[in-house]
This record gives sequence, C-alpha cells and structure tokens, in this order.
Amino acid sequence: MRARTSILFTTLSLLTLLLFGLDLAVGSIAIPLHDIWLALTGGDCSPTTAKIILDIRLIKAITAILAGAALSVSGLQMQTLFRNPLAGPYVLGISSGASLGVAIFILGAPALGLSATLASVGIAGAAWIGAAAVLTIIAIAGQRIKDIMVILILGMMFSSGVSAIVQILQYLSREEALKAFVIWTMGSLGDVTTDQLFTMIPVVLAGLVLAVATIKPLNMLLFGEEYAITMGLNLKRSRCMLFVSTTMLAGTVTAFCGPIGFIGLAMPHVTRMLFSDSDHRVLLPGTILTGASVLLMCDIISKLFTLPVNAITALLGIPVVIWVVLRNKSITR
Amino acid sequence: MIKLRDFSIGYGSKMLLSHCNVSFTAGQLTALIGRNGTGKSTFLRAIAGLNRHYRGTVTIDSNDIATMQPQQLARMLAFVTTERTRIPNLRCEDVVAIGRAPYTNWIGRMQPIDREIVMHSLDVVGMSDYASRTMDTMSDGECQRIMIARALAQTTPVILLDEPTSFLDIPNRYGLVSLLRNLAHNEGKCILFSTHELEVATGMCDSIALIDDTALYHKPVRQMIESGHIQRLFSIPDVGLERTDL
Repeated sequence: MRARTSILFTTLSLLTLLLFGLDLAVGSIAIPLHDIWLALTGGDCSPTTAKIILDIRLIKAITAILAGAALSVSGLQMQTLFRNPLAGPYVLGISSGASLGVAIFILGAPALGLSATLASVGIAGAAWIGAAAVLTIIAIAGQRIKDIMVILILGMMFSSGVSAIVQILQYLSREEALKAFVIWTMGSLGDVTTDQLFTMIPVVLAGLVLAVATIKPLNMLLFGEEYAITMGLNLKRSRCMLFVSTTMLAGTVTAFCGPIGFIGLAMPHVTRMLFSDSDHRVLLPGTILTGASVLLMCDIISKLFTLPVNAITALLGIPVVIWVVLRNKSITR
Repeated sequence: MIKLRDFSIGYGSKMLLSHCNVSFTAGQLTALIGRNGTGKSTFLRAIAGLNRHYRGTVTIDSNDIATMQPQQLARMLAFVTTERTRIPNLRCEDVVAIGRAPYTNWIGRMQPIDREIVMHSLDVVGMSDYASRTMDTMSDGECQRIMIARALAQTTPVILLDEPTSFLDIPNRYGLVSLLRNLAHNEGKCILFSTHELEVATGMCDSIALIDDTALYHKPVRQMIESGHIQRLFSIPDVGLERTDL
C-alpha cells in the first residue's frame, strides 16, 4: 500500500470518529462532553441526558454512519458496473421501487382499512419490498440482456413508470396520507427506532460483506464487461452479486431513512480524487469512510440549522457532480 | 492449437462464415484479413468466447470452448479488443496486474510470482518505465502496448487481437507487429490478429487467414499471395506483394 493511501485511511478514520463525537454533542439541548461520555459508558448522569444521548443521538449517529457508508458503496458499485460517472445507488430504480412500496402502504392503507399505527410500523417493510421487487425484475432481465447499457435504460424507464404510478396514487389520496408520504420522500435519519436499527445493522453489514466479495469483479469491470469476461469473469454471477448487494445496502437505507440523494453519487468521486486510485481494494473502504463522515457532517449541519438532511446532502453533492461533469475531458474538450 | 470444425456464424439471416475448417498452430503469427463487414471481429469474438451463437466446434488444445468455464478459458486465451481503454487513476502496473485475475484468489491478492509476471510483461512490450504512470496521460500506441502487456500477464498460449494497429502511426504499427512476431516465435504463442494493413500482413506474418464471402482460407503468406485471393479480393491488380525473406 502506498504511503499516501495509509495516511488517508488514518485521517479519514479519525475524521469519522471526530464527526461521530460531534454529532452526539450537537443538538437542540446543550450537553457537556463529560456528560456525553458518562451517558455512553453507563456512568453517573441524569436519566434525561442518558435518554437523549442513547435513545436519540446515538441511534441517529449510527444510522448516519450506516446510511452514508451503504449509499456510497452502492453508488461506487453502480458507477463501475455501468461505467458511468453519473450512475448512483438509485439508477436501477431502487428509490422508485421503495417509494412505490411506501406509496401503496401510506396512500393505499386507508383505502384498505389499515390503521395508522400498522401503517407506520410497515413503512420500512413496504419500502424494502418495493425496492427488492424492482431490483429482482431488473436482475431477471439482466440475465437475458447482454448489453449493460440496455439494462441502465430499462432501469431508468422502469423507475419513471413507477414514479408515474406513485403520482397517480398521490393524486387520489387524502391530505394527511399525502403529507406523511411527502415527509418520507424528504428523507430523515431521525425516524429510525432502536428496534429498526437492530434490523438495519445486520442487513447493511451483510451487504457490505457481499460488496467486499465484488471487489475483484469490479476491478475487472473497469475494462468493460467484454474484457472482464476474457479475463475469466463470470458475468451473470457478478452482476447478480452486485444487484443483491446494492439492494441490501441502498434498499435498506432507503426503507428506513427515505431516499437520501447525492451521497451515493458524489462520494465515490470524492474518494477517487482523494486517493487518486481506481483500485476497488482501496476505493471500497475509502467510500465507506468518506460516505460515513460526510453524512455525519450533513446531519450535524441539519441539526444546527434545523433543515431536512436531504437538502444538505443535495447542496453539498451538487457542486461535486458539476465538478465531475466539467472535469470529464470527453465533455469539455 | 486452435481448431475450428464445421464452423458457421452469422447474425439474423446474414451468413458471415459457413462450414469453415481451419486450424492455427503454436509459434505462429497469423494476420486475419478481409473486407469491411465480412466478419473478422465476429470470428475473433467467437473464439474468445464472447459470441456463443455459432455452429460447429472451436477447440483450444483439444478443449471445446463451449464447455469451458470463463476462468478456464481465460487461462488459455487472452483478447485485446478494438476498444480504446483508458482508466483514469489506475497505474499501468495495476492495469497489467488485473490480467492475473484468472490466477489470483477471490479478492485478487498478488503473490510474488504474479508481480514478477506483471513486470516481465511490461518489460516484453518495452513499457517498464511506465509502471507507475496512469493511462490517461499516455498516447494511443503506449496504451495499446499496456493492454497487450495485460494480455501477456494472462500467460495464455493463445492471444487474439482485433485491429491492434488501427490507431497507430506507421513506425508504431511495425513496432507492434514485430513485437507480436517475437512473442509468437520466441515464446511459442499462437497469435491471431485482424488488420487492414496488407503490407503488414504479407511482410511480417507467418500466415494469412482470409475471409472471402463466407469462406475462410488459411495459408502460409507466400502461398496466399500466389493463390491470388488477395489481389482478387482487394482489387489491387498491380501492387507488388513480394517478400524476399521466405
């Protein structure tokens, strides 16, 4: 490993830790650092402080780390698979699938006679089923379609179609249900409960383990699918692994936090630039750290200014995407 | 080395090659020529396992490619396509190292022997000094050599190249083909490449495979010239295709 790479990994790890600590410290109620430490270590502090730190801020900070890492890794996988710098975790329709699931649940639940409590418990489940359903259809199509660009276009068309259905549902639904749906689409790191977190952690970790298994295929796919095949890549199996891993990562995060934009698109580029490397053995752990630290930072900013987190990720992510587009020599030359 | 029996390929209703029986031997450099659209790339891609829609059998070292796993085939055959590959931020050394993929473990860990092969491959194509450079700052000829080094790192008995000389200037063209010839003669590889350069094909190769209508002829260079196929096919009645070193 090059010296620069190890220095960067150390710096990014420390930065992530620092931001994690800061995220615990920042909030509407000021809590001294000493009390935060006591709350975390089970020491002697007021029950209110302990509750705020452990039940609210800690859960939110861990969610931010998981979501940031998962979305960035998924974005990296999609960018390499499609050899497209503007691909992201949602390119295959994961967020549209999830939103359809949620739309059917929130907007369709009153029509089906389900109570509001049942609906709120099932939002994540509905979103996950929606995301997984879309990915399954794309993955099945992907077994038969040779050209990866066709899959990309299918994914985009499919998600547009799904969005249209969601619109129809929105149009037909009542005001309060509509509001609940719109709030979900804004994305939030704060709605994850402790129970949900314990579902989210193993699924995201499993997705990351599977992502580690896609490192070698991703490196081979840098040359395009045809070269990868002639170097011994089992294309169908690798595509399938990538689709499953992305569903577990982006699908799960979207289910629990709503669609969070730009992190998955921008962080792989930031990581490539920082490490000036395209080797996924470096990029994958790199994007985990940049994704986690940047989403922690977005959460801190969103708490300081009481803004929705999606607005912050967009404002931070858009300049990165513009920079990528301008830097792409084939466009500007 | 490569044997095709009763090989037919086409797309839609158009037949490109029909009932061909040819073989290519180790230690020989063969140029594949033919008019545009006659199926040179299709032919190469079929042998490389990228196009499975053919009839007949293709064997490499008596192994039928239709029944081989991708990794098995990647240890027998390396392919350099027409695609101009430029991966930003990836050093040439790492590009060539990915050629070791058929031999490395699940995460692609390089053993000392793999590194040695990578360095040797870079050395053979004369690009050792470029090991730490990235491809986005290099010329077409240099990138082409790196992609060939990557193919060499696969340590396969067969190498196929689709129009490897098309982006290169004349000195680079000759340089590249003599490199391929040395590889075939010194390392005993079976190398087959498609080209539009008749002078390169007749002047520097051991044999020529020529696609004419749906037939594929494969003969040593002199016999191919004497057969009159080339003149007829390319309608160049008065070009002297002579060579003295045969």
